[in-house]
Amino acid sequence: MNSLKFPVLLSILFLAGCAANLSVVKNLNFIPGERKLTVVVLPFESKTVKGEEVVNQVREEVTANLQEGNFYLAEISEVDQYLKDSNVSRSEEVLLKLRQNQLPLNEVFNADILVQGRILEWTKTYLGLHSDIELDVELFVFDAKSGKMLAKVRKGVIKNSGITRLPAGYIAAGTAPLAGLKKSVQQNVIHTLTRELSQTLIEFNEKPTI
Amino acid sequence: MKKFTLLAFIFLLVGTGCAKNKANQTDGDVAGEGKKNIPLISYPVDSVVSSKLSQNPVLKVAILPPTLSEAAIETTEKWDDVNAPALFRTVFFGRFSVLPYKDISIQQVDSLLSQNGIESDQINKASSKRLSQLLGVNALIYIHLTEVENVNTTVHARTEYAATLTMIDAETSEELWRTTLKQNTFGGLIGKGSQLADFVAFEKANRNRPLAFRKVAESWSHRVIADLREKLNE
Repeated sequence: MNSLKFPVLLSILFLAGCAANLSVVKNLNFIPGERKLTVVVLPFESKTVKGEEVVNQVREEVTANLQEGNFYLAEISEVDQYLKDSNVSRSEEVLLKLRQNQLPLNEVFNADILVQGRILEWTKTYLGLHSDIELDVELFVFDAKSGKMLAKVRKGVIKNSGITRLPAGYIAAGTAPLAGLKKSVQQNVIHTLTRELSQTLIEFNEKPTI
Repeated sequence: MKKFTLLAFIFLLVGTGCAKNKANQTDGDVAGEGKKNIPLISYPVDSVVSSKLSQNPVLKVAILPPTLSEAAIETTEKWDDVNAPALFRTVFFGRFSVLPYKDISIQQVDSLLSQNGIESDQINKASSKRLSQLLGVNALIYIHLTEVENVNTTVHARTEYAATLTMIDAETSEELWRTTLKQNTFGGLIGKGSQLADFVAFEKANRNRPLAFRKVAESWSHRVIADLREKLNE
């Protein structure tokens, strides 16, 4: 029994993993905050997440948060309709057409920059005494005319619940991991991460980049 | 030896987590380690959506400055680190802006009202027709905050918004949408799933009023928008 203790403790500690820290890559020609920029938020994508709900929600939250920056935001519904009418749906196609001068987003929406996002991870894990939710998102900023990438930011979060958060009692030890997977907690994870990533983009446009 | 093992285990668990990064210092509400996580208490959304709204989605909408109940005026006057009503409106505007309505910016609304001599506390005195003409919109959204609270005691921490939101058709003054919701965060070592590490962070996090209010406003807005979408699709 004693010989089992150490591996069990060790595996519990490993469960409380680390999320990706905020990483920022920024080109020097990013337009500093001289004027309000018009932003088109393109559809977000994910190769790993099943179902569009989370992907769409992350896109909407980023759009909502960017409203607080020095930006004009193009209406999502109008952007989607325009892309549909232009027979493009995926952001890769949008950028390809843009670079071939076949998709004048800068003229149609008077756009200065495009924001696109990729959900790299969205997982919910339940292991009895432990549960976690992981979300990892990368945002890209492109010049709306040339399609050149101006910046990218990435961050991940893991919300652990259960044994690693020191439950207040035996009952809590059983219920905390379940409570940690509730929809409100999932929303909280999405809100927190998108708020932070959006804030980073807002700051790009507030401070001179050089 | 057993005591030592237990102490070492607790020490390791408390020590588990990631290195601090920029994000955790500025916000860090969930931020990897689950620090400063205050549970959200959800109350039911009470709403009515007019069939006219679902039939005519292309509306130009202005979100008016919030009005406050006497209780809300009293509590909000105490804080100089956050304008909780303005924050609520800003956060709601962002979430509402993703819906397929044309919305005019908060700055534009406030500037037009001010130019026409209408102060935010006089919103209810002007007719909806006059306001919509000044703002050039088809519909107006009134926000009435009934409760705005940020409480920190030695036994619990709580931040709360309770509000009623009404969307009015500018032409007919018909109510297109009305929704009421109370949303709060409550921290304490009471209730299912309480965890010591979160409890320790409750009060500290709740004292960061701008973030505490923002989080509740985000949740409030998310829930009423989700409810509206659901009702429009029925």
